Amino acid sequence: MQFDKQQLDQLYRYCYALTLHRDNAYDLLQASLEKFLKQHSSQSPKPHSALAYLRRIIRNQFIDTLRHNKCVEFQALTDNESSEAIPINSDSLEDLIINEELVDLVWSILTVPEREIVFLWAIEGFTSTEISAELDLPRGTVLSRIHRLRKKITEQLSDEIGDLENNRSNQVLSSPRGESS
Amino acid sequence: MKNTLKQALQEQMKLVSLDDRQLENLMQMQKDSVRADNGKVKEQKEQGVVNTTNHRDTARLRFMQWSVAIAAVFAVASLSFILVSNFSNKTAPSLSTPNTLQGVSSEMIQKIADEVATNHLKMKPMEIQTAAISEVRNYFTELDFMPQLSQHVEGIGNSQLAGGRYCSIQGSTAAQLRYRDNKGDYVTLFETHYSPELFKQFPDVDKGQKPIVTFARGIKVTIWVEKGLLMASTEKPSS
Repeated sequence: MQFDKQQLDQLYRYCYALTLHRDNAYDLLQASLEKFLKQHSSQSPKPHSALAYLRRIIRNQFIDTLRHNKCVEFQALTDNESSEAIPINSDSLEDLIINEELVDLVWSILTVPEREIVFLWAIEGFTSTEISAELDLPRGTVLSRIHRLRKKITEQLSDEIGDLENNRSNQVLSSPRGESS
Repeated sequence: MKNTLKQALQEQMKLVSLDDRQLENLMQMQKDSVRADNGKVKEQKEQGVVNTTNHRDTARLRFMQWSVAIAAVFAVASLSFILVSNFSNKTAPSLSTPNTLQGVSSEMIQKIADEVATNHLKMKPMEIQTAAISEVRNYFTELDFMPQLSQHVEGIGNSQLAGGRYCSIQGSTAAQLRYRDNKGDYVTLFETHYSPELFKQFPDVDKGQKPIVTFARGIKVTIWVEKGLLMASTEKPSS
């Protein structure tokens, strides 16, 4: 069982989303792949989803590294967040619009658990149910995190971010004949 | 340009990808793992054949075992004779021949060789990229020794210094200097403070002794003491 270029790039991006540093992302991927290969020989049965399994190893390896370096973010990654079920739409991030140049800023204001959710949602295309299965979290917790995420992004980037609905309304208002495009 | 958050994130992540060298290393890691697994399976199969033979023809197997045992006794006796003869002919321990391990802990050699070969294969990114040893020295501020150039490494295919990163050898903080030879292959030089208590005895090239040459993980490893530092170089075997 081998990962091809596309899968390795996919995993590298996950590492990058966690570390926000290219060299550290590569180190993390390399160490995790080494662990994976030790645990799963080519003769042993293939795990149900090798990619998901390796992502889990990456996550644990990253937590170990943070613990080793005594970083604060580790606590946020494993805290016992209340599983309050906030009745919100799980797609509440879908309608946010942003200036492309500010994407780095978005990553930088998010905590590790938040970046992980954003990565799984935006890059892997997971639904909130899939994210909760991947992270082994109740769906309510994922939804509440998404809710807080949206709030955080819109508050901190209030001048630069909007949502599609407002954007359309603005376009309607600004159109001389009141037509939307 | 404005876009949905999702699309903007996807566009940005498209630019994040492994470079050719990193990709090659990861693919190689996987290939090595498969090769090692195949080796194990082959070994197990061979064992299985022996077991089957055991059931089928016990007498023949016993004969083979006896033959092997007798051959082993002869081999050990011959080797002991050669070693004793060589030892009595030498007035002082010499490390002039590659792979000569007299006075040196072979366990320590193997431990160091394995550790540096692993580090060499990992090819972790360099923390400083420069061809100037002065810049390398300025970078390594956390070491309790000063990194040195080694004529031994620079003699390998006209290797040129490319940079370095921190590492450790048997728990002792070390510098990893990476060189590139004229074929484009990397040669890695590991340096750490030489503590005879920790590392035991190693050949000192400043005293005219020749380095120890061994192999670990398919990598040629050379270990010696120079300028008060324990040095180990790793390179692709020539053939």
